[in-house]
Amino acid sequence: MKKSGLFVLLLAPLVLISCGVNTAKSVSSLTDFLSASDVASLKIAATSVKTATGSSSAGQTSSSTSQAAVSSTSSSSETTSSHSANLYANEDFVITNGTDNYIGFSKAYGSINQYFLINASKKTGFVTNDATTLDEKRAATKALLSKDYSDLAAVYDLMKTYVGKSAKDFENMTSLSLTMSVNGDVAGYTLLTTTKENEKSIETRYYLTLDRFDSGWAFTNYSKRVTTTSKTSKGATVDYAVAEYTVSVVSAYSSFSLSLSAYSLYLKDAGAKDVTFTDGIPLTAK
Amino acid sequence: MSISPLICLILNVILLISFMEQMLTAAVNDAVAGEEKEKFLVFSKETLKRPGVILRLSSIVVCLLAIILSAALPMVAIEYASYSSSTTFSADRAARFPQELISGWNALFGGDYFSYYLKSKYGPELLYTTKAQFNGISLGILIFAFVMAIFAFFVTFSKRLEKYSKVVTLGYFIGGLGMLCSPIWFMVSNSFGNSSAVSTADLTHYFLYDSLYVHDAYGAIVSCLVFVLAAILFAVGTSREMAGGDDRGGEN
Repeated sequence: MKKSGLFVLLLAPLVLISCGVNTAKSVSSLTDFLSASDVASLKIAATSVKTATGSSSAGQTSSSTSQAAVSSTSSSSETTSSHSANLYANEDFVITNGTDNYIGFSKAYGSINQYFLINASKKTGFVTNDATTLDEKRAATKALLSKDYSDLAAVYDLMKTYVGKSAKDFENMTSLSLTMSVNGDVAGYTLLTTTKENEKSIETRYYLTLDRFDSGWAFTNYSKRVTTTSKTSKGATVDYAVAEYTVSVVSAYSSFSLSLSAYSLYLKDAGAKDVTFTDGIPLTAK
Repeated sequence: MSISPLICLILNVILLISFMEQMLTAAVNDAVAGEEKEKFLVFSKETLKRPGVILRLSSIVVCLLAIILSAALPMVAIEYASYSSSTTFSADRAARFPQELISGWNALFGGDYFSYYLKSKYGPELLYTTKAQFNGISLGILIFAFVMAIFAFFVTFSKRLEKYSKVVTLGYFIGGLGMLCSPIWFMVSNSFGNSSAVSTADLTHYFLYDSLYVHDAYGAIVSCLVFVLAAILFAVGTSREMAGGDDRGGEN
């Protein structure tokens, strides 16, 4: 009895050590890649892409960074390297793409549907009863959502090409690391490479995160960072480029709401003379 | 009787006395050295029966057990929590992050992988996977504790080292506190978890950690308590030795 008790006592730590093992590991085969859903099977509610580039040398740093909120009206100079798209219930949408900053939605008043298309940059818009008026911008929004998600799928495929390979398999590459982890309903893949060429060192980092939804795994967060360090006679110069994506996947689109007080609206293809109130009195007669 | 033989006799007596004195001195010195050597480490069945000695030896076993537990049990836990309204990390994502336990072995020697979120200031919340690095601080603390266990053995069986008994007790406590601080050593060794560092120019300090919650796993608490138990055992053993009359000359 005493011997068995001692055995259990000695074995207990070894048993308990398994509790500390996490799901993170180095990717060794293609089976380590989860099956990600394609864009057609997902309800993508929003994507946001932002880029940043800059350089630093001798303690002097300069950068041009894009910062744009999803539905904000940031200055155009700050949105040149960013875009976002949102899709809501009833196929209402918001698209912010530098030149295109539009909000499109519909409102039902009894049996009548009215359609609003607002140019968010100019803070103007119109109202119409023609549903097809919003189709072009809505299609652009959907296309942007699809493109952004497809970009992440392409990165995922790119990562797969590094499976089973080492830095020696690539020219001038000095280090290669492909790792992944699954924590609950979130998975993350990290690809790090470093190449050296003469006096230049390029470090590339890919971070891709997937979330599990009802329909399967979907790409939701991504960041690519490229840092180029160049040694010159005056010292080292660091150039960097950052591209970051966020994708929102939902099981049901949320309804869209907007305060119109900030916008100037007009009736498309109609004037005040064409407007009649419910009591039959035309607007011009009021 | 001539003077020469007398002088020779006197000289011989003086030489004999001198020789005897030297022999006696050497004998005494040897006796003292032998006595001290005997006191330095005294082992006898009678000694091992004393409660104080038993408690002290038990503390050594418990200390070694604490060291084993420190390497075997999960020592570090990684979680996410929303600390305040200024937190930028998604509260929903923080809530969905299951507790991640880092084993003591991985926290000590590295080599295995673990993950945490990198929250970019531009929005993405990236689940990052990295390899744990060698943790010299924690390993140093455990080596220190092991040395304390060895030292406890010498203190137990040596009257000369008795005055260092408090050092052993303190050493055990330090070992326990060191293991309780395992998350700190782990974060330092793996260079993550620093407060908001969002310089765009320096991509290695690009991420926010405002929701990261790295704390003790149950193994760190258990290890600490076992180290404290070792310290208590040794302290009580020391007390019993003092109260019971410390005679390590072999009489008891």
